[in-house]
This record gives sequence, structure tokens and C-alpha cells, in this order.
Amino acid sequence: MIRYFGGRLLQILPVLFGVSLVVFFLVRLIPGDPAVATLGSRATPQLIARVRDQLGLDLPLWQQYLNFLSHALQGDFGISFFYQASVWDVTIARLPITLMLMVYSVILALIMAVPFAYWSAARRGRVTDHATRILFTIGLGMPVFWSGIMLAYLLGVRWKLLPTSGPGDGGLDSLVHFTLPALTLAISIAPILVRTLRSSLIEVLASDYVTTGRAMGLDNWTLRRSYIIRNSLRPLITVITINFGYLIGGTVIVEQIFSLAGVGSLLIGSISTRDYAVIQLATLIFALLVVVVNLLGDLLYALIDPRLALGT
Amino acid sequence: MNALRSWRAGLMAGVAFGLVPVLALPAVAQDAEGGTLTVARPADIFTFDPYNTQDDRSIFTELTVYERLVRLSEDGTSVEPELATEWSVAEDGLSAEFTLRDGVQFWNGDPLTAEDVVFSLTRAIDQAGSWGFLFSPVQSVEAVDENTVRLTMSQPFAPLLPALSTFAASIYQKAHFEEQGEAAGESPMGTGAFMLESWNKGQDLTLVRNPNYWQESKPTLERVVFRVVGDDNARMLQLASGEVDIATDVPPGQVEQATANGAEIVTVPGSAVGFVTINGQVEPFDEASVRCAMAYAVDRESIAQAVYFGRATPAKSILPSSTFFYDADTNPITFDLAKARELLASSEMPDGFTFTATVPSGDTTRLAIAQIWAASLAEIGITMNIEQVEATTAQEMYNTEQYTMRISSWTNDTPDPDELMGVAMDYEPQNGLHSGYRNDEARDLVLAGRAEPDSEKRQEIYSELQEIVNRDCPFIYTVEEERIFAISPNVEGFAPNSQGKYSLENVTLASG
Repeated sequence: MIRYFGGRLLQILPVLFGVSLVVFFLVRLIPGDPAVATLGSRATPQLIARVRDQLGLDLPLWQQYLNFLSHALQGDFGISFFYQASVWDVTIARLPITLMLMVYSVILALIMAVPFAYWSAARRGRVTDHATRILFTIGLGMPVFWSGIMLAYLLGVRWKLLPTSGPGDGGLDSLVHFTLPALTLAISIAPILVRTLRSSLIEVLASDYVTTGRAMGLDNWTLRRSYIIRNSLRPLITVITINFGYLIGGTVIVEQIFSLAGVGSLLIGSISTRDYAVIQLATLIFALLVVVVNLLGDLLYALIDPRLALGT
Repeated sequence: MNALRSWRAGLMAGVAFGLVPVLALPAVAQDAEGGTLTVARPADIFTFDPYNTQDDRSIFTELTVYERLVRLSEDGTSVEPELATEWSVAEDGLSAEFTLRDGVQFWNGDPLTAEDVVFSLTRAIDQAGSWGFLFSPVQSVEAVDENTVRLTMSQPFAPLLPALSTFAASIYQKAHFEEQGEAAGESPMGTGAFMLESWNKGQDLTLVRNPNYWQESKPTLERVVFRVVGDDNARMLQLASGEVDIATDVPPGQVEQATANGAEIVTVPGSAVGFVTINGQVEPFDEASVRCAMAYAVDRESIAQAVYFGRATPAKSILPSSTFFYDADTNPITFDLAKARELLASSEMPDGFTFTATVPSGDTTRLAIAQIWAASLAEIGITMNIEQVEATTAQEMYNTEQYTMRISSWTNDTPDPDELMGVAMDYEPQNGLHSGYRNDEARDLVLAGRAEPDSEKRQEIYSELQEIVNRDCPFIYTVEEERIFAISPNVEGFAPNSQGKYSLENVTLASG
């Protein structure tokens, strides 16, 4: 088992290398020069030439990439020309906001999805089942930028229940501030969770061991807790890990709407200023998050279902 | 069961991992007496260095943290003393002397000296800088004595005072600037009512009251926070929920909703004109009849109504109407399809043609203008395809003159027409705003207008220039835009000047 995860950990390296390569050349393929992006329409050619020289943009591309790679391997991701500070410091400082947002939204999504999925599965084919499914399909159809604004308008402005911007002052205040953005994201992923969990529950509910449990006289609560829920979790974990990339895409938008200074809003801002070094590190961090979350998903599998670990 | 327990522990640890750093976020500084004014703007500033400044946000912020020798009067028709108390222009118009105000200090307590003014203005007039064109006849700046500064010109320079009131002529401390070196653009040292406290790039910018300010009992605000809220809807929502006090760049379509939510609307009309730049180096746009045919096909009234919800008026000149020597009677271009057809028929492209215009993606205003225009162009046989291009890419296409048509707007920094005419109608500084329009007659008029001290004669010159624009159509004007601010009712004294620039030393916050 340790060997298995050791191998999986090693696999992260080529993935990150591939991502760095693709991102490095992709950002440079976008027309628009960082010097032009900062200096704007009234820049004189002399100014542009000076900035290009400062940024090392005059070197051949492959040489720029080798420079980037050798520095990155030593933990030096360069200087952001927009922030005039270490790219690492700028990006890492924003990571807590993004992590908080993701964790909080997954928790909210589960809080929404689990009871509804169970309810839906237990009343399969009845009105409540259909109603639940229609409700969550609507949720699935709402783009994040729209549902975010609507939630902010209703809960923030109309009913004045929750703040609509900023990360708060820490502690409970931050939890309150993060509620709307996390809810927005949760609404976008909960439908997928509900559908998966519902079909997985239906399968489990119909399985022999549940029937046996019932026949043995186990009460409903024990049955649910120890057999049904646990056995139906596996597909749920798969779905969460697979959709993690989608969740990251969502944070990029949600951070913009709710004025959260996370890695997502940093990435967007850096693309429009062509701040190559920041785009590279932010993308690498997102790639790393996806890979690590998938690895954790596999780990959780093994813990939930020891048969898997034994099999490898 | 053990496995399950450790799984749960892992989950909890994961949650804590996400939560803990946020719990440790620093608390926001406490409000002092004057309160904190929070202003939501769509983008961050780039720099505090006027030499490199390009964007409106940086310009407006520099106007707050720095001061200049003179400032524009409230009605926008004249200039008033600011850091200079008096001035005199030599009879031959070739030099001007400014007496500096006594007792002005920089934020660090150092006195303002003639040396600082000489340093700042010498950078401002550098023709290699982006704003040197505003001061082109000014040859040198020197200190006559500790309190007097002299500007020497190569020819009489009529727009001198308005040019000195722009952000580009801001005064900052020489010693501090030199000490900062490369970082000078991020570390201003001015004499303005508010000093820079902190700048989280891309997020917010906090200014704090300058205790050494020379205007007594000003400012009243303790702090000003400029917060970046890029999304139009989010900016308006934050105003409605009371999280910000002022929202700038209000989309015209949201004015009604903002008013319904209790906000007050402050508008500045007449400082900006919607503007299409044509690359005259590309066929068939090198022909004036083609350009003018397209100009007559702009349905300005529909644009004003449909795109700006009535918060715009059809433009009648390339100059915004608050500009000195604005003249709406120079055969302005109107919406006239018959005339457009006639012009096109007389051109080398009588049967029309097809071309592609680029619009920055996500800019719904410019996209809508392009669509309305494309519909009328189709009626005279011109097919305009609209391509949306990412904003920075669009900018680069324009700078390198790889574009065909660019829809944007022009905002004055000074009410003097020399600013716009100087870059648009004189091909020397920026190739006619990258239009490639080269007209020596127009260039001579620009130079003459700059040197002419007599107002009546300047009026004739600028009327003629406006007439040339209407004849040759190197640029196509669309509508006069308003700058729209939405402010919460507890904000008092917020009064942007006629050019849409705001300074905040007179703003107060009512409690509650």
C-alpha cells in the first residue's frame, strides 16, 4: 500500500512538468505583450523596449523556459512584474482564501446533497423524488456568475442577511463572509452529488446485505449509518474528485463576484496584465491541487473499502 | 473501524487546514473620527508615477495624492492657484514664472521647494514620456530662487495653465523619488490631502489623512479605501448593501435600479466622447469618402437610447462639449443614410465592401455600439463583421497599428482642445492616435492654435480643425458619454470636476 502511494506521488512530477510546459508556451502564444499591457496606448517605443528588456522578454523562448525551469526547481518562481514582488509570496498569500472557499463549498454541497439524495432514493419514483431531481437540475443549469449575483442580491441586498464582499476580519466573521460565495459554488456542484449519491443509494438499498440486515432486525438508524451510507460513498468521492477542476473554475468566477482576493482572481488579473510568472505559478498550484485531491480520493477509497488496498 | 476513525480525523484536519489561515487574517483598522470612505472602482491603478501613467484610475488617484501648481476651477472654465499662489507670463509669451505657496509640506514633513517642482516638471515635459506632448513647447524648467520657478518656451504656449493643471504636471518630492529608484512608481511622496497607507495590488488601496496638509481643517475623512470590484453587478450590489460608499463607472443601465436602492447619482456630462479610430493605412479606409460614408451611417440617437439608456447624447464634434472652443456648428456629422450612400457611390468602393472590426471581449457597451452600426452599414452595402478579441490583445493590435477599426472613447484631462487635437490631428506625436492620418494643413493649425494667445483667433483655429474632422473623418465620433457615479446618501461634498476627475478633500461622511 505504501509502495502504491509512493508510486502515485512520483507520478505527480511528470504531470507538473507537463503543465508547466504547456502553460509556459500557451501564455506566450496569446498575442499582447506584457510591456504593452502595463504601458497602455500612449507608451512610446523607447518605454516598451526598456520594459521588455527588464522582463527578459528579448531572450529566445526555449532559453526563457529553461531559465524558468531551473529557477523553479530551486523554489524561485521569479518576480511578478506587475506586483514587483516575489511571485511565490504573492500567490501563497492568496492561497488560504481559495482553500477556505473550496473546503467550505464542498461541505455545504454535502450538507445539501446527502439528505436530499437519501430522501430521493428512499422515495424513488414518487413526487418528492422527481421534485428533488428537477430542483437540482435547475441548480445545475444556473451559471455561477448568474447564481452568485442573484444570491448576493437576494440574501445580501434585499434581505440583508449576509455580507456580499471581502473575506471578513477572521474567525466567525470570515465564516459569515464566505457563506455566500461558498453557497454559490455549492449550488453548482450539489446537483452532481445528488444524482450520483441517489443512484448509488438505490443500488445499495436493493442489495442483499441490506435485506439481510433488515431481516436480522437491525433498526433503520444503524442500518443507514453502518451499511447504507458507507457503501454508497465511493462513487460520491469519485465525483467530488473528478469535479474538483470544475470547482476551481468556479472559484475563479466567484472570487471576482464577491471581491475575494484568492488565487483565482489573481490568475484572472494576471492574464489581463500578461504577468507570465504569476500565471505560471497559479496554474501550477491549481494543477497540484487537482492531482493531490485525486490522490486523496484514492486514499479515502482504500480507507473506506480496505478490499481495494489489498488488491493492489 | 480504525480506518474509518482516521478517515474522519483526516477530513477534520482538511477542514481545519482550510479554515485556520483565514481565522488568522488581520483585523481591519478601526474607524477614527472622520470615518472611512470606501470607493469601489472596476480596476486597480498601475502606478503613482505620472510619467508612465496610462489609465483613468491611476490618473484620478494621482490627482488625490499629489497637487499641482494650478488647478481647474469648479466650473471648469479657468484655473486657480494650488501650489503656486501667483504667476506671470512674459510679454513675448516665451517664459512664465510661478511663485510657490509658503508652508507647504510633503507627507514626511519636509518643505516643498522649487527644486522639487523643477524635478517633477522636467520629467513631465520629457518628450519621450507618454504625456510630453501636453507640454511640447516647454523647453526647460528652472528655479529662479527658493520660491520661484520659471518655465521657458520655444514659442508662445496658450494652453500652458490648463496643461499644468493635469495629473501629468503633478509635483512630488525629488529626494524621495530618487531614493526609491525603480520602486518610485509605488511609493509616492506628495503634498495632497491624503497619503498612501497601503496598496494590496489588485485588491485595495488605502489612503490616510495627511496631518500636515496646508488647507486648514481639511480633509475631514480619516481614510479612503479604493476597492477593486471588477464586476459591474457586484459593484452595484456592494453599494446597495452598504459595503461601499461610492461606486464609480456605473453602467447606464443600472442607474434606475441604484436610485431605487437609495443611492444618489452624480453625473459629469460633456467630458468624454465615444470615438471610433480608423486605421487609414488600410484600404479602403485611406479614402475620406469611404470613412465619411461610414460616419454618416452611425445612428447616434439609437446608440444613445439603446446602449446608454438615454444617458448620452449624439456627439456633434470630435471634442467633448465641455472643451474650450467646442463648436457644434462645423457641419457636424449626423445619421444620414442618403448622404452615406452618396459618399460611398462617389468613392472607389461604390458597391460596398466587407471588413472586420475588433471589439474587446466582455465590453458589452462597445459591442452593442458595433452591432447597431453594423446594421446601418449593411443598408449602404458595407458588411462589418465583429470580432471579439481579448482586451490586452486588442490594445496591442491598436498600438502596433495592426487593427482596422477601434471603438473606444476619448476623455479629456484638460479642458483645452490642444490635448486631443495635439495627438489626433498632428501626426507627429502618435501617428494621429494610430490612425495614420497625415494632414499638414491640420498640423499647422494645431501648432498655430497652441501658440495663439488671443481667444477669438484660437476659436477660429479650433473651429476649422473641427470642420476638417467632419470633412475627412479620420475619426468617427458617436455619442457624448456621461461619467456616472452612484453614492450612498451619507456621503456629502463629492463633486467631480468638469473633466470627471474627483478629489476627496471636501468629502464628509454623515454618521449612520
